[in-house]
Amino acid sequence: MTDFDAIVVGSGMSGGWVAKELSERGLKVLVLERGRNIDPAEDYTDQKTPWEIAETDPLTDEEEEEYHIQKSVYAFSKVNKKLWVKDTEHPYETAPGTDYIWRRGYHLGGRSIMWARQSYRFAPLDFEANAQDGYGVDWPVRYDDIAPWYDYVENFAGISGSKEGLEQLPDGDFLPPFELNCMEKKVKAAIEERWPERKMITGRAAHLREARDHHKKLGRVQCQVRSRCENGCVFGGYFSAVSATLPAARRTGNATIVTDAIVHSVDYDPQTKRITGVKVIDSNTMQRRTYTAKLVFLNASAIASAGILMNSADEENPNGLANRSDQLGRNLMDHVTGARAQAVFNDFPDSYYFGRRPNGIYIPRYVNIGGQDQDFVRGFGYQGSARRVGWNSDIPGIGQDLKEKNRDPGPWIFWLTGFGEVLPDENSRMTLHPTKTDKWGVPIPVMDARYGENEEKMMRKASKDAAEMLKAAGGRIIYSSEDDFGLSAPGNTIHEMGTARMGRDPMTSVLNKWNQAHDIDNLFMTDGAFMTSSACQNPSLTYMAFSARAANYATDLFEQGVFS
Amino acid sequence: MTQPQASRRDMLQGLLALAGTGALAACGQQTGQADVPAGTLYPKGDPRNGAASGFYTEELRSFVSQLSDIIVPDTDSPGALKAGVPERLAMVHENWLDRQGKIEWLTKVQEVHDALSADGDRSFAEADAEARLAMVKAMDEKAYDKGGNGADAYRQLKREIVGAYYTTEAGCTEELQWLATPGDWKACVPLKEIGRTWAV
Repeated sequence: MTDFDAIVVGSGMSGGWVAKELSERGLKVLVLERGRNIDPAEDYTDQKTPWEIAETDPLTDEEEEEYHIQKSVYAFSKVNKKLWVKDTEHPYETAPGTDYIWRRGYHLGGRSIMWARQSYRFAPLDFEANAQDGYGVDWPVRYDDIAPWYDYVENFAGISGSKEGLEQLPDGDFLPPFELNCMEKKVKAAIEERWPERKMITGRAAHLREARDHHKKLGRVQCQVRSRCENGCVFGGYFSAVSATLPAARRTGNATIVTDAIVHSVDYDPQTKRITGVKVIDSNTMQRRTYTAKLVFLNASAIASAGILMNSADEENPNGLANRSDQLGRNLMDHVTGARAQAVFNDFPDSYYFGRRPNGIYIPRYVNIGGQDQDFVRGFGYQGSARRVGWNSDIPGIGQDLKEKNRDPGPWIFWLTGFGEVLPDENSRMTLHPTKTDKWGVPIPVMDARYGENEEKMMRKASKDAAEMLKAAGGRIIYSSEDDFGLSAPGNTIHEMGTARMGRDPMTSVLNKWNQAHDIDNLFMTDGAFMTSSACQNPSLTYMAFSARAANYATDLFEQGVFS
Repeated sequence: MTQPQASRRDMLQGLLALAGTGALAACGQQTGQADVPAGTLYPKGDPRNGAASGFYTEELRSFVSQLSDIIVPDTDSPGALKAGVPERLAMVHENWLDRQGKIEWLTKVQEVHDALSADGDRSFAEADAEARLAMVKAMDEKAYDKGGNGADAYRQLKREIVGAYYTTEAGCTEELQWLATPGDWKACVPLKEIGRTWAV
């Protein structure tokens, strides 16, 4: 007899989905969250006015140190600092000569509260890429295996977007899109006329442009277009675990959620070759206990989940559980950036917009489609937007003159940032430090990740193209990364993945095509760890689809008595 | 989608970037004694009159208020004084600057005051309203044209005043416009239908 049918470690983007699916299928589920509980009414700061924000104390010198890594991301602010970990409490190290930016939020819902909400399907070519060019191992699935699950999660989460018929970015079950503004439409037309293979579309984002009945039943309402998303959203206007999947799990009556529960390791029975329980430390009291279950899902995020299996090493498995392939912790990927351009336009002085659109444009990948046409493999896409410059405090004039000048918005500024695919590389990896632990006694991760020639060539191309596209549309370039080139540090895009890749061969991969460990059949991993390659699209939607798929597969097995 | 973050370090760096050197007697205070007697900017009992307060004297408050009023006056919308800009700046400087930052800020204020006063037969503090307006107007033109003494400091102080103004409730909602809950996205709307710049 076990405490629960299933344990889900992590309550964020993927863990919430697993909890929802398992509990809706009738399993008794325990969700373990290492961070604190979140009460949107208390913990979200989306209702703060600009003047309240302006008068909120900045970080103290102590806090500057405590958040010295987290604070550099755009989504971090003095009013939402509590949604980010204190780096001083959650240390990690990097191998000599390397850099790694690990940004996290330890609380119910994890980073699904602060994410950028961009939601794109991987394409058939993405699932075939490794097999085509030989980097990494072949995905054990193809797009058609996953497509129904993309449909499923899009419908539940609510993804706004436009159908475009692009082979490199499949369409989905979209809510109405955020329309492009006048300037974006002009730039789109200019780019597509000059380069017919390039398309600019509205971003596909996890916002309820309309709330369907199943959204409303969870208390979610239509996106209010406030663009306060990184502070949480009391309307549930965008998808998060807190607004969507965890409430869905809770309403079944089958889900138990325990916060402040740091998973130290899992218990493994060498006789049955199964996980029997999960060892937990109460983050406040330091008390330890073990929860037992027939089925365990690791959804703690790519680095943390791999770390749990490494920290569960025993005599038989000295390099960690489920690690016969020695791939655990390897192939640590992210998306590379470093390509950016910004241009000013004098068009449309009499046009403006209403609302603070929490979204922008997307230019899907256009290189190396249907054949190799670059001196690098794979590809990149762009995110960006156009908006008018607002008030300016440093312009000539005083009094009425100054006020009048600021009553009209300034010119349009258009920015583009390229996001490129990072190749799987066994030498880019994370391990656990042999001696150093955090304050709960858990070994700290050590990252050893590097970008190579492919990523650099890709971003140089993306830099050049970004500036060319904006110039072709009539813009005056005010910034180009061509003049200031440098790759982002690994981890900087907050898309860490690949540390327990799926594959066909147990000797070269950790998970099978169902996100199930080759070596331990009651262990599943559906956070970014399972990713066999990174593509260049934002990955959360893919984590959701695989999570729902794996959870339903595991439940099928459970119902067949496989785990009894 | 990116929200600028105002950190203490940013604030300090912004002010430190302007910092000059040398002694000053900013509005009657000695530089080396920036831990000056407490000002009376806030009503007695106001929590902002806390441990950090001390250097915002009546003279300093008066100067910042006069400059704020000239740069962002009442028109058909409230100006900087009604919007509470001097109080905002006092709060920021009192509470968010360390001792060195306060000294450097005072240095800049003194520099602006002296530069404004340089061409007249009376100092800014002693001038009447009409003369003060002329002084600031001349300084503003100079600061954005050929520069010169006090120009950089003036522009910094102006940025603080104007920036604070447009992030007050009056600046956001009465001079410009801001909606807590727009509720919808309309991508291309004639500017004349929107009216004015969105504050955020």
